[in-house]
Amino acid sequence: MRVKVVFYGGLQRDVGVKEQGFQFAEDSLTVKEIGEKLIERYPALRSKMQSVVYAVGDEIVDGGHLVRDGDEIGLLPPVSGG
Amino acid sequence: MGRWMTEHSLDLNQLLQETEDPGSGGLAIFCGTVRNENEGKPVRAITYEAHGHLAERVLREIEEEVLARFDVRRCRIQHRIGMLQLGESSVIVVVRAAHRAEAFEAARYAIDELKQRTPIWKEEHYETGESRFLEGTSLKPDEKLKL
Repeated sequence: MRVKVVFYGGLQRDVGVKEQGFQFAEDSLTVKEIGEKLIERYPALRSKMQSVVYAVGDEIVDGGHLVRDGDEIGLLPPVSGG
Repeated sequence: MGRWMTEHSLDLNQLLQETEDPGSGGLAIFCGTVRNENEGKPVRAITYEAHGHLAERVLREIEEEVLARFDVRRCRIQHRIGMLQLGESSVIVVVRAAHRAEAFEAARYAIDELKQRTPIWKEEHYETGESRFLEGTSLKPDEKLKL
């Protein structure tokens, strides 16, 4: 499956890109499993992921949400608007 | 972007026109502006970024909540994204109510909820040339409309 991951806020500093496409061998993964794969690829994310919430498309989802081929996954760190 | 999130300078007069209401005797406005320091470090600008579609929806929901929870007649919220210079407005909340107490209370609720729930991030740019993203409140995956 192919997905696009968008790193919001300070996460883009940790990984060095704002967004990135990924190809995974699996047909089906939860967002949490994708998060774990991202930590393997970007170890700097490890300490951040506990406070990260996932968005798929325009919805905030929990870690068990099944990602589909072509989905866009947003990694949302703690917010600071206003 | 849209009705709630914009790349353009915020226009208070536009929001006042949109919310005009002869039945309201109280008008509360909260406006957040870029301050020249944070935690002792001189700030020269702030860049705001957002998950645009999600932020639009959250601000719409907060407006709906304000109208449902408080005895107020109008509520509008707008937040800006992009790089803002000192003194520029990053957010405006407009609430109109028959009386002032409800207007103040509802405007306070709206900005407090915005800060907790809206996927917006600020990157401060300092006089030293450095910059840093600020981390505030963790979003909750099960956040639902609080009607």
